[in-house]
Amino acid sequence: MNERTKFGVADGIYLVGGGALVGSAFLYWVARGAGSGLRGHDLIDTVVALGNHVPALSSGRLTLLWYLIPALGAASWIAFGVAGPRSRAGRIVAISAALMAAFTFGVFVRLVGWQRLGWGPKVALLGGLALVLGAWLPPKRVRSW
Amino acid sequence: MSELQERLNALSRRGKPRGVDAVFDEAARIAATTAEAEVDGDELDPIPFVSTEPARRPRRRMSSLIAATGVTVLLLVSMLAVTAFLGSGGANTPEGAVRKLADAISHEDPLAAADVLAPSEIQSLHGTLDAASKRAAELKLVQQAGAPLSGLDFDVDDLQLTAENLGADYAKVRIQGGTIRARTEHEKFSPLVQKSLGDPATNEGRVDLRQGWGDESAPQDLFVVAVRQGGHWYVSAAYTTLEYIRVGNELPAADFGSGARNIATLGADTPEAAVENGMRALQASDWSALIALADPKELPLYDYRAALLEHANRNETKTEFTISSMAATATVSGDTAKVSLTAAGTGGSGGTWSVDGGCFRAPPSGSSEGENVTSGEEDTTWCVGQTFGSPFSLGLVGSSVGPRPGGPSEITVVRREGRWFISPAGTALDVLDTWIANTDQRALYILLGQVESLPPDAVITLNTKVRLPESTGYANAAVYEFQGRAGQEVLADITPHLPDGECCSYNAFIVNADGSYVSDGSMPLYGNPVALPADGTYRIVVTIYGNGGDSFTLWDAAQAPADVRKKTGESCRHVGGAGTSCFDSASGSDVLDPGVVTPGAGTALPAPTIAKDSGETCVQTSNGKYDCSNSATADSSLPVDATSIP
Repeated sequence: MNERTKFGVADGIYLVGGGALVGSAFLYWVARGAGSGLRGHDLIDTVVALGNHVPALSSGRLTLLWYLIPALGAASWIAFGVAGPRSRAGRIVAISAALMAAFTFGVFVRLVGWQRLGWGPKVALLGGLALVLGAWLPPKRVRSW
Repeated sequence: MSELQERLNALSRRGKPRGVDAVFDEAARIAATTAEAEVDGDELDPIPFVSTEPARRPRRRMSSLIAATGVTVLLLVSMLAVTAFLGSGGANTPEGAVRKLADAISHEDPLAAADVLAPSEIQSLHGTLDAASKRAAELKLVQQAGAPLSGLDFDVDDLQLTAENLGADYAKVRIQGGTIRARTEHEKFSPLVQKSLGDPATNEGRVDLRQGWGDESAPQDLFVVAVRQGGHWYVSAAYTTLEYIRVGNELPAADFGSGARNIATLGADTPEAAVENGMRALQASDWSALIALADPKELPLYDYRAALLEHANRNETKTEFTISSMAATATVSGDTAKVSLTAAGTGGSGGTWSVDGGCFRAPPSGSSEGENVTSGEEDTTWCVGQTFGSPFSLGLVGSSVGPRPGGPSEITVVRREGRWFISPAGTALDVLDTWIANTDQRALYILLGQVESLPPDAVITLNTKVRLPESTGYANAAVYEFQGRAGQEVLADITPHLPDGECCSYNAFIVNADGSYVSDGSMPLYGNPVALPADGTYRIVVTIYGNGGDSFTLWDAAQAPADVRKKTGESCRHVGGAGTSCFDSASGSDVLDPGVVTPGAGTALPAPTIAKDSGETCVQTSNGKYDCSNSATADSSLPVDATSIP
C-alpha cells in the first residue's frame, strides 16, 4: 500500500467516524422498555423521570450531552474540509468527540444498564474511535528538499 | 517594485564602490586572520536568504464539499434540538401515528405509547404511568422501572394500513394486514411474579390482523381512529372505542367535530352545576343532557350522540333512583376544579343510598322502604381509591368502613371556552394515582396470593381470643406468630361480631418458618385440626373477605371446647396462588365444588381430611393432582369414607 492510499484510507476512516456520530442521533439509544422509541430531549426526560440519574448531571446537561454527539460529528466534517483530518483542528475535534462519546456511553450504561443499551451509544463510541484513528494514523507526511 | 529588488538595490548602495579584485583581496585577508580560517572549506557559508511567502496548499473541491456538508448537518442538529424542545409527540400522518403505536408496543414501551395517544384524552396519563413504573419497581413487582413489561415480548410485524378521511382532522386507519405476537419469558419476570405464575413454561400467541372482527361470515377490517391536534396526528382511544361500538351495533354515523364546534353551548355555568346537573340527568335518564356535560375534547360523546341515544332507546336503558338532597362544593384552580359531592336518595327497591365525598353507600338488596339495616353483610359502602377491592373492579373500588386516608373524594371538572364539563379521564386518573400511591408490599402479597410472605402482625398464644382487624377493602390478611410442638394439633375458630352471624368468609393457613405450608395447606377451620410437624415457631395467616372485625381463637385441639370440634362443614386445602379447594367431609351438608385435591403421593390422607366421598371418582391430572367429582349427584352429600389415593 503506498503512501497516497494509506492517507486515503485514513481520510475515509475519519469521515466514517464523523458519519457514525451524526448517525447515532437517528438510532435508538435504549433497546427495550421506557425510552426505546425516543431520542434527544424526550429520551433523556423519560429515562430520568423513572428515577435514574447521574450525579452532577441534571436532565438539561444530559440532554446537552446527547445533542453534542452528532454536533461533534458534523464539526469533524467541517474540520476535515477546512484544515484536513490530521491538522490540529481535526485532531482536537477527534479527541473531543471520542471523549464525549465515551462519556455518554458510560452515562447511558448507568442510566439504563447494559441489557437495555441500544445501538445509538455503541455507534457513537465507535465513531469517536474512528475519528481518533483517522486523525493520527498514518504518521504525518515529512517534506524533503 | 518587489521587496527583493529593493533589498538588492540597498545592498548595492552599501559602502564605497570598488572593483572585483579589491573585494576578493579583502575577503582573503579576513579569512587568513580570523577564526573563520578554520572553517571547513566544503561547508557552505550562510548565505543571506530572503524568505518568500509560504506556498499555499491548493484547495480541493471535495474538501470544500465536505466542509459545507458538515456545516449543513450542524445546522440540522441544532434545529433538531430546538424542535425537540419545542415540539410534541404524535406523527405527521394518521398511518404514522398507528405505526408509532405499533413500534411502542413492539418495544414494550408504555410511555412511548402514551405519547402517541391524543393528548386531550390522556391528560396526565404519562405521569401516572411514570408513577406506576416507579412504584412497581419499589414493590419489586418489576425488576426495573424502565422496563415494566420485562418478561412480556410483543412484536407487531408487517402492518398494512390505509387511511380513510372522516373529516378535516379525523381519519380511520384500517389494518388490512400484519401480525401481533406475544410471548412470555418466565425468567425475565421479577421473582415475586415468577412465584405467582408458578409454571415456568414460555407461552406464545399470535394474532393475524387480517382476520378482522365481527360476524365471521363477513368480517370487517380492524381499525384505529386517528385525530389531528396541534398539527400532529395521534391515535384516539376514545374515538376508536366509540367507533367500534357504533359499527358493532349498526348505529348512525358520528358527527365528527360537532362537540368542539358547539362547545360554547354545552356544559354548565359553574363546576358545581356541572356535577349537580349530571346527577339530575342520570336520575332522569336524560342521556342527551348527560352527554352534553362530558368534556367533548376528552370524551367525544357529543359527536356520537345520535348513536348513543339510539342505543339507549333500543335497550330501554333507564335508572331507578331518586335524589332527596344534593350539595356540591368546588375548589377551582385555573381551568380545573375539584368538586366534592354529598347527596342522598332512595334506590329502586326503596332502600336509601348516599354519597359522601368518595364513598358511596348502596341501598341494601331486597330491603323494604325504611328498613333499618344493621347487618354488615347487607350494608355496603364503596370508596374509591382503596388498595384492595373487588376483583370485578380491579381493586380500585372496595367495600370499606370509610375512605382510605389520602383517597380522592372529588370529581374533576374542566373549563373549555368558558363552560364547565365533567372530566372522566381526569377523575379516573386521580383515582388511579391514589391507588398506586397507597398500594404497599402487604397489599401486593395479598393480591398475588402470596400471603405466606407476610411478616407477622403480632404474637399470640394458643387458646386466646384475638380480634381480627377490620378490613379497609375487599380483602385483608392478619398474620400471627405462635409456638407449637411436634404432633400438636391446632384448630382455628371464628367468633362473629355481628348478631346475625358471619359477616365475612375466611381462609387460614399454617406456615412454617421457611414460608412453606404445613400439612400441604390444609386449613385449620371448620372443625378440621392441623397437626404441626415439629417444635418451633409457626405463623397462621388469616385472609379476611369482608369487613372483618370478627374474633378468632387458635386452639390446641386437645383443649378446644366441644362445640368447636363438633363443627362440621368443609375440609379445605390451599392449592397454590390464591386458590383454595373445599369439599364436604361429613354427611348432612351440601357438597361444595369438589375441586382439586393434592394429597402426598403414595400416602394415606390424614383423617379427618377426606379425599373423596364414596360416590366420587378421582382421576389423576397431568400435573400430578387429583380431580374428584361425583358422577351421580354432584350436589348431594354422601356417606364418607377415609380413602387413600395411590
